[in-house]
Amino acid sequence: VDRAREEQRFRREQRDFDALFRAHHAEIVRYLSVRLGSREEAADVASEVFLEAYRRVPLLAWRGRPVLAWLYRVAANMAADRLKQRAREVAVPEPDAAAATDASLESLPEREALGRALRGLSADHQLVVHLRLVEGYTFEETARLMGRSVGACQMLMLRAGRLLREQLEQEGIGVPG
Amino acid sequence: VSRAEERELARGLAAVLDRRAPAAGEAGELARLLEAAAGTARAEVTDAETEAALATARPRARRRSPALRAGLAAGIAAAALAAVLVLVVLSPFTSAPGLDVAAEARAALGGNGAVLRVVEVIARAGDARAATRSGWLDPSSGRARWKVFVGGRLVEDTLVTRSGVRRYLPLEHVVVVGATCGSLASACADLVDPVAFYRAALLATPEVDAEKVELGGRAAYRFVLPARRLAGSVRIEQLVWVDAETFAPRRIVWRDVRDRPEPVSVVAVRRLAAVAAARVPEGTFRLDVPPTTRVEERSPEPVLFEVGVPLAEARAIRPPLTALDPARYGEPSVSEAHLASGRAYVVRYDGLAVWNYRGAVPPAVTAVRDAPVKSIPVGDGTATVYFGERGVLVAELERPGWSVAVVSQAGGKGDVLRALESLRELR
Repeated sequence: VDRAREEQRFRREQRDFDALFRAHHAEIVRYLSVRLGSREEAADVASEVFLEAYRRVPLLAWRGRPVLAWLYRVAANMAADRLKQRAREVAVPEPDAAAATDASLESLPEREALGRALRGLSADHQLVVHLRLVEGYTFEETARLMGRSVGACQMLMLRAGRLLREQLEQEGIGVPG
Repeated sequence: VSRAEERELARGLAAVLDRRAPAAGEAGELARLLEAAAGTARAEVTDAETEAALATARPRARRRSPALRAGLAAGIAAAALAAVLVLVVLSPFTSAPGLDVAAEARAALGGNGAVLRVVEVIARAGDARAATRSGWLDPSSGRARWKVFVGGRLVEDTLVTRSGVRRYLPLEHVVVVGATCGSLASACADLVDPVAFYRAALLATPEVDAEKVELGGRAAYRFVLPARRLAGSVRIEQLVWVDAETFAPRRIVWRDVRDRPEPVSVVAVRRLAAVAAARVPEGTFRLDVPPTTRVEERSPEPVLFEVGVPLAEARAIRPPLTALDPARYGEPSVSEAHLASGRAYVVRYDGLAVWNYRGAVPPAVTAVRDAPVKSIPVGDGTATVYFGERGVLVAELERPGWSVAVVSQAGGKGDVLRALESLRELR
């Protein structure tokens, strides 16, 4: 029954671009914000993802995975392209306290370090954290969206956690209590 | 640790994250860390933002016809060639004795036909909330498009072309349209983008006296660009730091050359890329808004006459007028100002006035349109503070139903900031 319902939803999202957009735009922007480290750029790339969806989604064949899985794959690819493109552009370092103003932009160092560590993870590690913990999908749903097994997603999560811990330890920041 | 043990730990972590097991041991520690990291990524994307994005995406998607797609391949080839040229132009330069920093800095901005993609953080000292401005500048066509984010939320989306200005305010669900920047609330001064202003000054300056310094742990060159008129009479001097490798601007401080020692505005350039015109994404210089958005057209007009409004009547005006906290500022007097094509209300206190307007911008506000400005986060939006002649300060912001301007004839910046903090409905 679930599969039948999912296929129904897949067909509906193939037909109704507006519904597809409204259902998934926010989470794709959030995902891209972490991948790209910029909310503004995330919004730009998300609009490209949905333009691609407008052209391609009606042509997709039902293979047991939701349209959202396709959206995440396209978003991940576009983010990777954008990161490569950015590497070729003029390198302007991220702002720091000194670069911003003399006494402004005071930040919460731990939160910033966490965000930085999250952005430093590989695409797969970021995606598993995003789907399970930011968007709140179950591990089963996460596995289907990523096209992997539940066990593989759990392993990815474990490694993501350890990488975050390593990164924070290097910055001298402890694990939140 | 064996793979089996690893898998067991991964399952244990999953159980903690699923709240099926207590957060103990390494699994508990990692779960706390992952949850905390995920917390940094839970940004709010409002329905208004999604609707605005959809309104933009829908027509773009429909326009992308097969014929266009065929042309796209040729376009991509041309863009790739242009990109190579841009990369050649923007390749990092090596510093050397006798280096012409001004020439290198000009080269870092691309050629005449380049479109600039800029992301700037505009902040004021002592305020942790900075406004991020992300946009595109096309100096050759006089077009610009940028979005302003405060606390990660889109608060303004502005398009400037030679035929006028459009500003979409998603939180108010309003698009403001004007033929000139002077007709828009908060528009004129911030239509002058810091990077565009820097570019113009740099193009007019054959050479600079640069000093090699360090900024944020990286080598940079610091120099002063001569004072330049900003739209009208006010002259602004720019203190600039450019990266020592790329020569892209990293920090720009605007200083009013009149006797005001503090910086007018401090801008950290977070990202800058010169993009060949062919590579600018389609729709960049078009501002579509959701279909139900209220459209307000505005024009600057003189006040024809004013009529006093009893306070009780003023309190009944809808949408409610914006005023200051009576506990701090006392009871105001209210007048209705008649302009050629509409009305505005002015709520007056000792030394301060709060203008409420919609269709027409009162002269008290247009008089400072060409003054230097500073953007200041206020609540969910930003206020633009104009530093006018003879100590006049005007702070403008959008409030539900009205554009609001706080005008101080002789008070200091602190007075205006305190007034902004105490804005509320007139009751």
